[in-house]
Amino acid sequence: MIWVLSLGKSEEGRLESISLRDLESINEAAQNFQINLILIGGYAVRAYTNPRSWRFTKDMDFITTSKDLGALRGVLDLLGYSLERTEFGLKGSKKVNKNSFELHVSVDKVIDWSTGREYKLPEDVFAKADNVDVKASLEENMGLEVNVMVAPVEDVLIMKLMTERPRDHFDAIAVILDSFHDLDILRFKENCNQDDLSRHIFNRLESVLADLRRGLVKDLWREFTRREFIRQQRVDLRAKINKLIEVLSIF
Amino acid sequence: MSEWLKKNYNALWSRYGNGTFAFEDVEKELGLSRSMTIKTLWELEKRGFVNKERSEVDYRARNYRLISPEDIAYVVGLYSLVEKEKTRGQTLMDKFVLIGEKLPYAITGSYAAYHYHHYMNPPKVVEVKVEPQDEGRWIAFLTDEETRVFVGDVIETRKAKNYVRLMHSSRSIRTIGEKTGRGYYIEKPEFLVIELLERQTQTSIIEAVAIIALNESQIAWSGPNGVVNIASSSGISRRLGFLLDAMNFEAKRPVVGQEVLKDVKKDVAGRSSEVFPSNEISLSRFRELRNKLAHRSLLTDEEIDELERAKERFEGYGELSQKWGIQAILPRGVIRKVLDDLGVELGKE
Repeated sequence: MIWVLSLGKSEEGRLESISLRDLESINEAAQNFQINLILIGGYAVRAYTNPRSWRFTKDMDFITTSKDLGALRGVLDLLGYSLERTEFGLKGSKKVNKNSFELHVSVDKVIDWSTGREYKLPEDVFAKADNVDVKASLEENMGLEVNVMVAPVEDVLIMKLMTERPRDHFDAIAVILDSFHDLDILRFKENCNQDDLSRHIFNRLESVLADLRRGLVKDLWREFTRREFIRQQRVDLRAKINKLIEVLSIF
Repeated sequence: MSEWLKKNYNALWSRYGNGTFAFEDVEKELGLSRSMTIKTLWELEKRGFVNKERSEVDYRARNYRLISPEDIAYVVGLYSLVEKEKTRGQTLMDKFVLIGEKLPYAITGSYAAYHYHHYMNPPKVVEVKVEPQDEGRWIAFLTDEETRVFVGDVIETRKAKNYVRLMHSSRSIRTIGEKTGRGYYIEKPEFLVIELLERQTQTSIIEAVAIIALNESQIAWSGPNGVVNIASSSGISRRLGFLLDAMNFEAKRPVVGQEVLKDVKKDVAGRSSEVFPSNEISLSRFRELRNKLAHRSLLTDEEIDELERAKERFEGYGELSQKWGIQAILPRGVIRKVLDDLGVELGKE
């Protein structure tokens, strides 16, 4: 267990800054030792969305390859994480004061716990990863940001659309709204096809459109942001989803 | 406040007092141009002298209600007691500390939950329970360049650093609140867990599970202000019993003691028509599955198989649903994931 004392900051602020610094250290070590390791999950969504959408856990989710797993274990061990093997890869945890930080590393594929569905990592996922700034969300940590390797936006979106969790659907909506211009639509389509997910993702997008008509996206938005989903966002989201559906429907 | 604004405020107050008025009313009543009306309302809003609400008749329209001169004077008086230096650069949380016990309040919802679980970041809207008669004072006190305050839904579309949503409580604010180490007041975990269960969205359930898992031994379960009693008086004993049982079931060990469950059970008899969670999103997802499965001839075997599996996931707590007399449509992974993320030791299937 690590005891950290940072004067003038709340417990929340301390935890956030520790988790961001850890994220930076893990990223640096991975790059120094040429380990394929990139962020997925909440932190990745955070990198591709505007600050308003931040409702994430402090847990870090990564992906790596089986050949890099041994080296990665060594790095995480050095950073004070106790590690255990899981069905999807590796789980690490570190106690800081009374709190615990958890990290999950998926190997070669990502398994969605809510459905059991798998997404095998495309060959170019590490080559196409983006170096993105992840900013602190708490006011007291304003200005704190770390530069880390994040999974390409297309893969982040697929991983969020393949699950059954409303929270992931909210994340997917936020990514579509905020990072659609960065999305390589053909790569998105190819990666859906590769894992035979096209039909599933297509249905999910159709279901978001139906939710939009029924006013459920508005409810979802309010649940996560406590704010309004305005008309302009509705129009924008519908147009962007229709484009994705159009591309996927040619399968 | 500039003279022209004071004059417009006074004219509106003598005409409408505490009543509501629309944008067009200001134009007509004060004989102002459209741009001057916008400026007047904008300046009043920026200073916290007016409350903006959604019109009940037209979803897009806004109604305004002036904050009374007494409430404004109270806040001006309050600020005059504080050294000017201290009010400069104050954050929203500093303001809550500053007000202390002068006006009762308790921060609730995700902000308060985060204080207890540190699991999931809160959104940018801080929800605060206040006494209804203090609403005007709160709006005038908290509103500044960076903060917008709303009663009910946050309807601001312009960017602000902080949004505050004022809410009411059916219980005394002083009973439900406790002071944090940082000096502001938040809702006690016992009341907060019930508040989150009353909201019954997947997120609020996740937050309730996280609070219980991490604070089980500090939470008062029995006694007049214990969770069991609060749930009973709120009519949600079934929900609470089901949730605690489901947590124990997923962990394969008693995260919450059996004696607590027995206490909750005393308040529950027979079956009810309650569906849990009964929020629009969960209900709609479940209905969609059921409707699709009702038209099997339109589906392939593979699709039927997939939909059946999804329905099973929704109804994964069959026995517990029966025990607590509710229809649970909570996917099993929801609770298990929180417990796993929080490092709660889980037994094997």
